[in-house]
Amino acid sequence: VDLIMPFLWGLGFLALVLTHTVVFIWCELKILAHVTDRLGPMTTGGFHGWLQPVADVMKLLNKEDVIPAGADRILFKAAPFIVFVPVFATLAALPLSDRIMARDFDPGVFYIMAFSGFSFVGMVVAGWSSNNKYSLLGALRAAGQLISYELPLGLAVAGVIMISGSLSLVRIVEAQTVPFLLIQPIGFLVFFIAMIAELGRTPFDLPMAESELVAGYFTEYSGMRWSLFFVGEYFALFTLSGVCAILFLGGWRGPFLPPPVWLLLKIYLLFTVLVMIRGTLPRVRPDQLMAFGWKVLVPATFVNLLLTAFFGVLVENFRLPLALTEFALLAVFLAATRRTAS
Amino acid sequence: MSGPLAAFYAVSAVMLTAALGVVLTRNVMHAVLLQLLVLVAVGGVYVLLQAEFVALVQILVYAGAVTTMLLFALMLTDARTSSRALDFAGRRPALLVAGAFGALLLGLTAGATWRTVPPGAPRKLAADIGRIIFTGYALPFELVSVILLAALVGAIVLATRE
Repeated sequence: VDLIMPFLWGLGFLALVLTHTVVFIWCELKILAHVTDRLGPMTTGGFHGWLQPVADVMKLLNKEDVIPAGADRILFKAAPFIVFVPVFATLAALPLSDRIMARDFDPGVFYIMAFSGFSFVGMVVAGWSSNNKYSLLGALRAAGQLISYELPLGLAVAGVIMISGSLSLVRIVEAQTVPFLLIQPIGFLVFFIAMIAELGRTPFDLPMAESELVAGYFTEYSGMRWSLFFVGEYFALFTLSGVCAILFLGGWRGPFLPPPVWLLLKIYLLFTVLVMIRGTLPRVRPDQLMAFGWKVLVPATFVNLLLTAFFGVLVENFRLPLALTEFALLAVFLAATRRTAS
Repeated sequence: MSGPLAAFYAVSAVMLTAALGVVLTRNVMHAVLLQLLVLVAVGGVYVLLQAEFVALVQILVYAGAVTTMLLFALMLTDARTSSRALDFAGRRPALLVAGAFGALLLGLTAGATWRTVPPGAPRKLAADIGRIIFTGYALPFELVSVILLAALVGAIVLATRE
């Protein structure tokens, strides 16, 4: 019995997130289409092409599995799993409400950070074993980008941990009588931007920039192995959006609707914003990516941490003064950058 | 055999096999990835010792960051032609040194008396570890920080000299 329950949880989460992956893909197709003034899929399944992702899956299952002649066969085959398994493992610590979770354990946030940072080893392996210059360049970019943006991501999480006093995701939501977004707006912005970079989505999609590198580290992959990368990306999107909603948007808190529905709504809200950003912003250059990460995001998280520590030690009820200072600083920063930009 | 003990043997078997592979393989890339497996298995041992936080640090720092750094360095250098680079002449002396060191460690661990913790002892949480580091072990912690900072500065100085 001890071994069956975790297995069932795993299957349940797999089914849940796979379902949402299919919905995500359809939403992304449709939103992107409308952003660029197109209709997107309209025929498959009748109503607004709702069966399109299912048709895509069928197509992928039937594709030939090609392994390049000069590839390192073992590593080439292992790479999609090295990417997918850690991403799937993070789901074990993602609670859907204060009751629906695989396990509430003390270092929950830390577990998710540790394993989501693990999958880029798989990307590097994929890029190297493909024996293709575009794959290798994509893998190099992925490694550099993910290492650089993991730092601000982790430091932004540290800010939340300082307010809530716990690494447990359940405890963090319990501490949010006000969503932490309103207390640490700087922390939220840094987390959100770093999250986009960790997911490798536009404007930070340099590791798989199709106009420069064909498809980056998975250029040589096809069929099922390619789908594992693809599904892994959406699983990571689901987990990181979930963590973002839990850390900054009050998690499953909300009136009227049941808690898991609230969390899913917040995940879909974040997802929609991500797709809108993908539809509107151009890709950044590698030097801009590094400069922005190290010279803007990392110092910003330090400001966030210092302010939180300062008010936390000095004032008994520190949330309001902290929030006011952060919003004021953010306004000053935005005003200053706008002036230099124009 | 109890479940945790069986798990310990399984994890140890994976770890030792992978560690042997690191030394025996001639492909640098394979060596790095086998080492990754060793590091993850060490994390597994920590989990079995009920030190989840330490296990996660192990995964985050060693399996994640350090391995990626190694892979990064391999790809920036010419890793493809260097599959024969591991065939260096100092293999025998290296084996001797490693063997002697291994024997020394084995002798020391065999002779040591270990502190045991009763099975029902409360787990150390991340907060407890933080408290210990910043009170009882504050000085060693600061010293380690200074050493790491010195290494960082040294690396930058070496890199910018060229």
